[in-house]
Amino acid sequence: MDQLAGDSQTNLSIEEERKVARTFMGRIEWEMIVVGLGQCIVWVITWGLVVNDVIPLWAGLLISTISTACSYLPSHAGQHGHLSGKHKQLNWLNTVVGQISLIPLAQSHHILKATHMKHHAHTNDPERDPDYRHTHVDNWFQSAIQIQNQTGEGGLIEVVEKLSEEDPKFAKTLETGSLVGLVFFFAQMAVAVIYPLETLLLWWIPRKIAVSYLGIIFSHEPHKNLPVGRYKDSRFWSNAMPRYLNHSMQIHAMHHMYPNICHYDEPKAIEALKPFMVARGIPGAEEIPEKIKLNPLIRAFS
Amino acid sequence: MKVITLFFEHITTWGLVWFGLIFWGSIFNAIFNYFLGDSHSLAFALTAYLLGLILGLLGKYKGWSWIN
Repeated sequence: MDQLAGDSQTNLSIEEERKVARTFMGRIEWEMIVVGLGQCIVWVITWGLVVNDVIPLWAGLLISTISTACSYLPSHAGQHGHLSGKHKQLNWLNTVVGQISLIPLAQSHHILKATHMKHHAHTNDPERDPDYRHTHVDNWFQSAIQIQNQTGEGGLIEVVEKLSEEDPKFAKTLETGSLVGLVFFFAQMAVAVIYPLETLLLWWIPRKIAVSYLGIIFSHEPHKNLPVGRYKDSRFWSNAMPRYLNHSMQIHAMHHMYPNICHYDEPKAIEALKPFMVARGIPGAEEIPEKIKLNPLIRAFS
Repeated sequence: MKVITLFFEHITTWGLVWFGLIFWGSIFNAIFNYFLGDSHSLAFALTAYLLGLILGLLGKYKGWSWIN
């Protein structure tokens, strides 16, 4: 791998770039399987502890909010096939773990996968990128609010209708996923009748906070004010928070460059691919430190 | 099959209203009980579920999908 990275100092062709990138692809991202199942178990246990008066509701709210914030990324890994890696017989892991991980968010893995693939295909396109409306806003607050009303008036519907007309398979996937959405819809109502305050504070509020957090950190920060186009649609960025509190979305540009590279392998891949990133003009690439450890991006960016 | 289709159509159109009535009604009822004493009065319960219904109707007609 180091040899390949070394060779690339002189050869910055697309072929060489792909050759280096391929060395980081194909493994099973077991870390995401642990996070996906782990956070869901934490969420279920929190419910049990609160309902049985072992811990107070406010503590449950705190724990549930943190664990729910971790529920999307394992589904995202499943959407890109990272949970099975190159092992096709384990493809089921992507869907099963991805869907279990989304229980606290009450979302369908199929729907999120279909819309996320369209986001990759049409990043920053106002007519086709499902994430456009909560990405290209002026500040965090607008992003946090906009993402909550995605399915409401003036939201995602027009984009989804257009994409469905263009791609019947996309429409079919949404239809399949809506069944899961319906299960969550009724589940929340049923649980609210039995445990109303617990449902509000352990499920509804945590998932609203998590969704806003996702809108800001996963969409707005990496893509705001950027045009359409490979190498142009995502940026490296930093804020005052440690990289891990941003779910490492500071290096999200790596994911858009090669979505098949696992999330936990991205720092090493960036180190190897930095010359290509700089040569292609990826926003912020020239400021990436030589070694990406813990939170070095804070020092590199303002 | 037709019943299932009708059911889906109904939920697509009126889902937010049902959600307001049942989900938010139950939560408002619990909040009333918590702050106004555990009286389980019928008037409180009716008020809570009415508020939930109103929120659901507002959700449907104003496009407030965030209530779900």
